[in-house]
Amino acid sequence: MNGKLKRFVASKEASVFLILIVVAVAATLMNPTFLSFANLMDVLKSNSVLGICSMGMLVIILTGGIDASVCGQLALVTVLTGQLMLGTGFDNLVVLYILGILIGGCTGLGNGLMVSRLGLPPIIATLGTNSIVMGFIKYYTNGEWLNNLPARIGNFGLYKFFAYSDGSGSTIGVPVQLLLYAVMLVLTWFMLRRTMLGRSIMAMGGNPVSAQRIGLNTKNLTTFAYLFAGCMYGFAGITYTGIMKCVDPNAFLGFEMDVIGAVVLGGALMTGGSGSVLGTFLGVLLFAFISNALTLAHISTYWQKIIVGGIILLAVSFDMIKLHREERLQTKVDIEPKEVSGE
Amino acid sequence: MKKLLALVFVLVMLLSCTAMADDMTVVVMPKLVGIPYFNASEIGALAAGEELGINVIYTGPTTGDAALQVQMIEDLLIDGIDALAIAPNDPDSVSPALQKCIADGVLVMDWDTTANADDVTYSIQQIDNKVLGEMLVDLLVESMGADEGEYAIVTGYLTAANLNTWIDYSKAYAAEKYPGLTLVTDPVASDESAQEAYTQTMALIGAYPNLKGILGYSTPAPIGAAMAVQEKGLQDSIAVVGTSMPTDSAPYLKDGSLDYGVLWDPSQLGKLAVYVAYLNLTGAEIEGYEVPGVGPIHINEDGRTIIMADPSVWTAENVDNYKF
Repeated sequence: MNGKLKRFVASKEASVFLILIVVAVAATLMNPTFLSFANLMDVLKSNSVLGICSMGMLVIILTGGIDASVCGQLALVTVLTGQLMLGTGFDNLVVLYILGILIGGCTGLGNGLMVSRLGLPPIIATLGTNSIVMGFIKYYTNGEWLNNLPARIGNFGLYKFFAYSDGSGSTIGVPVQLLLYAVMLVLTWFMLRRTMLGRSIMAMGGNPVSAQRIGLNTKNLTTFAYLFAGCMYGFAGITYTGIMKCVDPNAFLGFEMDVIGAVVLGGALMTGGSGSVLGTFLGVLLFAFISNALTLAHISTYWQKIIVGGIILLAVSFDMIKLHREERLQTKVDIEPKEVSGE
Repeated sequence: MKKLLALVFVLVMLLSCTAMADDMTVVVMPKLVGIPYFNASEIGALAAGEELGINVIYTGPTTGDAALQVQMIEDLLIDGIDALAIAPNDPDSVSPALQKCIADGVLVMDWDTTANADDVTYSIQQIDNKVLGEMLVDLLVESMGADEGEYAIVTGYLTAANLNTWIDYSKAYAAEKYPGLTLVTDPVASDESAQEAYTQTMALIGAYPNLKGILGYSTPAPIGAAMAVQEKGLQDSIAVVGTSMPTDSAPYLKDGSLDYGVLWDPSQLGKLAVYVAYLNLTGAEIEGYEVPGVGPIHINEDGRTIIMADPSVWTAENVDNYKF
């Protein structure tokens, strides 16, 4: 076993990967459709929005923060851009994506400034943002769906690479959303692993006090994390509209729990400093596979929720047990209690 | 001066008390606010309040949460109300709060979704649940073009009493009248979200390659199912029928992914609830009363259930005539 492989086996990602394999094998045994190319592509397409959002959430969780305003930010992006499309028939996708990223970036920046400059606890700041934005959305749209969006956005959402027809009328291929998700994965990975900015965020999440002592501007880093996440949500919002071909202002209620759940399933520690793009990707896959696999396995909906909850607890406790074990093995020199993260 | 002020104050208090006694306050509480269906019923309820010259409060939680409803009922009780018409998210959870209302002399009714029978004086229902449940199955068979094959059910929440009642009637009727129809799995929940219904339907189509029909209960469910069918290009081989709002269904009805939408006019339902409360509180005769724009009220033999009308069906041809 070479060093890299050894390190992977010992990593958190490995335990998520293991559960993923178990779920996939079990699902395939119950219903071979699971492993079919068409089904896997459908699952990835439906969960690409979750995946893109989880990249933003990962960066926030790495700083030791949390974002409860995913729902509001996504709703704001989809409703504002949807209104623009409906009102003017505007359908330039590149401009729409830029607009989405700008709108998400603004709310994200607001969150970041509140957390870093005003020192508000992240949960409070983002809950506040969410409440304000959702209140505005409800007032503005009254919950009405925006239908009849320009055809181009819907056609874009249906676009597939290497598409071929399977004879029964369905087109099979690699959905465009998968490419978008992959680009965001690589971008986030590059930012976190290959730039000074990303390394500083990891360092700060691990130990904010030392980070400050070595001269990192923790305020700016924290602000950046929320800004980055907002931009990701903006990107995800436009992608979502492409899939659904309409805008439902209430579509994202409770979505933040899915996003946080996927990141945590992927092995990120809520206290910050620990978590990876690969782990989060596996977390999203696991989240998506469980629900898809259970339906394919002809398991009744009533049991699905119980099983999903069970797997989340199992995955996280797996992690915690390993962590405790490692801690016991460590020789402790410093008896000072660990600093509370945050400001 | 102080005495004068005090006197004025007392007078104002007295006046406002008598004014309040004259004013009748009827609360109409939907499962949640801010979705098109309950927005439409709000319009009807408020219009009835204006027509009758009474105070109508239309309020509910922003998510379909029974605990939030309980909290709101208790707050409203403190404010003092005369009647409460509720669409409970969970009949059992709201039961103690409703009993408290009854103890306080408040007229309690349910509308849209039934509460426990012991908790309400009247139960305002949009349609005959049995008629709707059976109608959906008939329409599905018609759109499938065959009375045999596999079908699946996509619902809103698994705990929603009205959806479960319709599903039970549909299942029983299908089993009896069309023995060739097979329900492939238990109803799949879509949490009242079109996106979730879309994702679940994609999985259902993958899991059951011989699927011929989908019944959608709750207004976003058929839309989400239709989106999935449309995306898969299976408009001709999978029939989708369900309860949906006409404006949201229009694009899917027109491209054939949704075959029939079935519902009633929710604004009329809100109106009817307020009228029944008003008639009861003023001691007027309810049976046979002609509600403007809705029609005569008829109370069933149980003395409690009031059914509004037969459901309306929308198709690609007639959907543009409806504006909600």
